[in-house]
Amino acid sequence: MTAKPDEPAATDKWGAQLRKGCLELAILASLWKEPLYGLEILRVLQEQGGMAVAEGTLYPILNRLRDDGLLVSEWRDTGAGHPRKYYTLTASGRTRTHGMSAAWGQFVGQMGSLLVALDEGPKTDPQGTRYV
Amino acid sequence: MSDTAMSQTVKHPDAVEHYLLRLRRALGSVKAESVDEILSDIRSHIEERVAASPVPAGQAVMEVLERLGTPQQLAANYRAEGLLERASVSSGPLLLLRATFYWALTGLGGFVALLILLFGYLFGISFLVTAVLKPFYGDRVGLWVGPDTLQLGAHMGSEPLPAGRELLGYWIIPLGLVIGLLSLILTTLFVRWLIRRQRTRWQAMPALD
Repeated sequence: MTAKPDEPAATDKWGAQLRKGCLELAILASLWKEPLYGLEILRVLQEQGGMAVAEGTLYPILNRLRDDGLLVSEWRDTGAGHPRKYYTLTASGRTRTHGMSAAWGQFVGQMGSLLVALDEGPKTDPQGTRYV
Repeated sequence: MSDTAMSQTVKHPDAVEHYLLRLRRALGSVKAESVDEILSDIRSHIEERVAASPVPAGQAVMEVLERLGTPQQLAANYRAEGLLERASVSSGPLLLLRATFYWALTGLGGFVALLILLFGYLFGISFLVTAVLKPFYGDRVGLWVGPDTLQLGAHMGSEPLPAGRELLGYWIIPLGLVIGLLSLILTTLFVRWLIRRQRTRWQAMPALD
């Protein structure tokens, strides 16, 4: 078996799926320090998380997280000319975020120990033939 | 928001109002208070984006509407998070039917799922009905096999019984119950699985920019 040439497109697609899967945790984490409104959440995800989230995706997820009791929302007049809706983590939202974060950490650790192999290079058998 | 930006937004309300109206329509059966809230959220987001944009308001409005996706897509995202979320853990036939029906409005995949659901339910129900009718109309319910016939079911009214031999007798009751229930259960599980699969796809569409 020979190693396939690098396929940037396939890697990009995989990366997009990976980010999708993490979106819920990313949104919850963005609210950890302080309540934010929608556009701020998008900015935090983009600037700190490098995630370009489709705008039509964010609000439906926020709605669901709120219906699940993980967030509460509140319109505030911040002097911007129009009210903004701020999202705040609830106690159960914090618990959930902690749980997801722990699962994430465990996953990253396990993947890490698998991927160490890439630094060590392919094994050779006693005849000196490389396996790759 | 600066005064200029504000007055510019007011000059371009048509596109926004039109978008929100189409969104309201696309949301259809979502309950009214949720629709009002969704519309306020989206309106606020548009105002925020336009105010923060360096380009002229008219152009900024078009840009933000494009990034939000079509009203149908946006409504589908909301529904994916709401209705499908509940249906994917529910076995209630009405909720499954509703969720699949609205999914069917958004594309071919949903339409196929709806056909599977309806066919599975009908198939299951007809077996159950056959089993239930047997004790009351003993000689008119059965499985007839003859040289040119293969008929299973109940013959009501005055229509003649099929030519051929009735094979099952009262065995049709346990068989009908088992086959009927099994197809209802399998249909439910399968469509729930389809919905779950679809939901993960809808949960995040790739960013537009």
